Amino acid sequence: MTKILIAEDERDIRDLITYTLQFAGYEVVLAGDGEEAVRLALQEMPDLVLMDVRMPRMTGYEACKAIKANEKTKGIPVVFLSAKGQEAEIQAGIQAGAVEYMVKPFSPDQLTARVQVVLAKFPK
Amino acid sequence: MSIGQSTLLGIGLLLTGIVIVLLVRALLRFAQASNARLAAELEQRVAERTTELAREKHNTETLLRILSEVSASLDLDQTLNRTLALLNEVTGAEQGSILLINTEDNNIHYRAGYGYLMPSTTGSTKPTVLKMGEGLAGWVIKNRQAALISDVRKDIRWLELPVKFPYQRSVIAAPLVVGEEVIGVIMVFHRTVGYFTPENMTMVRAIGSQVAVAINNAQLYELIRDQAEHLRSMLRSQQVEASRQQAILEAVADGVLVTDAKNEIYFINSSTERILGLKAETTLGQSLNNFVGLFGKATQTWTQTIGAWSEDPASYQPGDTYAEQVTLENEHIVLVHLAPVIWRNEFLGTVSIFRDITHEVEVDRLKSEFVATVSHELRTPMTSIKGYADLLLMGAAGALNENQTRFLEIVSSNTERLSILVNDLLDISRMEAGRVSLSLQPLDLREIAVSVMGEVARHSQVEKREMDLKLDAPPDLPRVYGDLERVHQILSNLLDNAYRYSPEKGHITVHLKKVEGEVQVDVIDNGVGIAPEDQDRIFERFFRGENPLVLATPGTGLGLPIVKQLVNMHKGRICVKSTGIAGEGSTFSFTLPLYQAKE
Repeated sequence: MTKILIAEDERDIRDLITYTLQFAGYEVVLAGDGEEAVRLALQEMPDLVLMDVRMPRMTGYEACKAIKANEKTKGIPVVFLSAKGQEAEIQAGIQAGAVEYMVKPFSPDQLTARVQVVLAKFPK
Repeated sequence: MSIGQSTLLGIGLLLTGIVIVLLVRALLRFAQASNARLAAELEQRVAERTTELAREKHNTETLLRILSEVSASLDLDQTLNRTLALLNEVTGAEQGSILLINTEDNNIHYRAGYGYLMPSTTGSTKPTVLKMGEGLAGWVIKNRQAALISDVRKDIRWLELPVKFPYQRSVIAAPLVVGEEVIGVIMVFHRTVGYFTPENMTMVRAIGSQVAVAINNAQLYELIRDQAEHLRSMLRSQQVEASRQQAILEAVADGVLVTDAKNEIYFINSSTERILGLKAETTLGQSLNNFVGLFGKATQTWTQTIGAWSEDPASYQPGDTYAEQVTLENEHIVLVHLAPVIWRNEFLGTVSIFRDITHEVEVDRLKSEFVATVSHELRTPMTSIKGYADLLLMGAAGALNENQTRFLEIVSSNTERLSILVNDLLDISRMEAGRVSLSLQPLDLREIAVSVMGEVARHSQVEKREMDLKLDAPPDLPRVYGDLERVHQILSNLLDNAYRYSPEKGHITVHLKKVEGEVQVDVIDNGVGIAPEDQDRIFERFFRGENPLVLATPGTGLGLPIVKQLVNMHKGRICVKSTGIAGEGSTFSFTLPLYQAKE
């Protein structure tokens, strides 16, 4: 089963993504901050990480860089989900090593469609 | 008359005297020899001639005296009064007057009098003014001739005054002539009939012609004095005006710096001192180039422009101005406006205006930050609302009845609307703050139109709202120079409006054509149209008009302002045509510049 790590500090949104992806048939692992995301990425070795940008302890950009800096996890594609949608922020996300940048709000349909595209593009 | 002339005149008289004495002696010898009677007769004639010569000498001396006195003063009143006093003394007249032609009204004005006062000058009435040709004075001026009148009451040229004046019976009047021009008349009077002799007239005439020159000189002097006074007062008022303007320039909050044609600093006000950190006493008269280093690199273009204009004024094109926002080394943000000073095609220098906008820029930054933060904070809860509504609609929490489905659809679509509004707000606030930059590249408008129309067609399918979409573009349409994403946004906004404001099964046509240096895009629909009185306002933020057909359709009122901003940023133009009649629709046309390989 395809495993997706969700890193999001807002519980409502974390649950929304969880329901959406579980409904679409994926297995999910949950992290509430950047540090936890880095740790779980190494521990769970997911197929994809969906990461919020603004999180406590470690921002999404920092967590993404840490995942990319680790030999074991650097191959895992990271997609940012953020309410900040300006060019500079998207650029910062891509520079941190993400493959996609999705701006909130998004519909469950859009999310699952995008996840499918990324997974097809970056198979394990 | 000069001293040389008077000496010659004296020698002439002396020689004549000597000749006469010699003649007398010869005659005496002849008389002794022949006839004592003849001798006595001759003696009498000699005596007469001697008297005559003495009188002529006296007259000549008087004339000389008058001339030397009157030419000694440039004061016109003094000249005229002194002339009349001497003339009365010489001729024995009781009264004299001088009347001059006034060049302004071309009448003859009483100018000076001596002796008894005329009844018309006693203060109860105005001074005498005669028309040209009127009265004796008028006759003398017109005929350029002197007149000797024994009794004025028997002369038709005499103009009797309303009040009889008993002291004016005998009159001599002579013209005052300068070159070819008669400037007035001089008159002497006596109460005795037949008082004056032709000899008196010769004297008055001689004085008249000489005094006229002195009067003329005095008049010229008066004219020059008046003009000098006029110039002095003009200079004074100009100095006052210049001081006032300088005070105004000193008082303005903006910095003002003026350079002359040689690029030297001519004026700076105290605001400039404050903004640029300069001191007037150390900058005035200095070349602007000496200060370039002080302002930092940011002002290079400004100083270069001033330098270029002062070195080669011909390089200035009418209408050229320079405006730039620069950040000085002291971190102050200054708006610089530069304009040349041209007067009658001559380059006189430049005027620079500095406005310290540090505070405004900071306020603007805070506003943008605020909008960005609010947008961000709105997006997070919107994600939850929209996401959970959609999850419910997907059946993630079980089957829904018809009403539940409809209500959730309303929640979802309104969240979508809110999301668009937030995006648009963020977009327009960033554009207005100049924070949106374009990445320009050659673009195929046809491709973009096909893509956007495809999106509208899909939307139409999803909404089951049929729409006839047509693209009309020539196969050889040249490429334009634009930002792919933003041009897509322009066309998408316009087509989305056309779709939303057109009835089901409406017709939308996108027409592309090359015009002068540009490609024009027309988006034509047959929707509700836009009333002519609203057409100027539709590009204003949040303006949606009063048309119920428009208000029935959800919209933010930000789509068209964004489109206009984007078109302007591309140096294109946008306009709308519509009759305002529902069903006749509207045509939105915008242009984008052609791509030129050298760019």
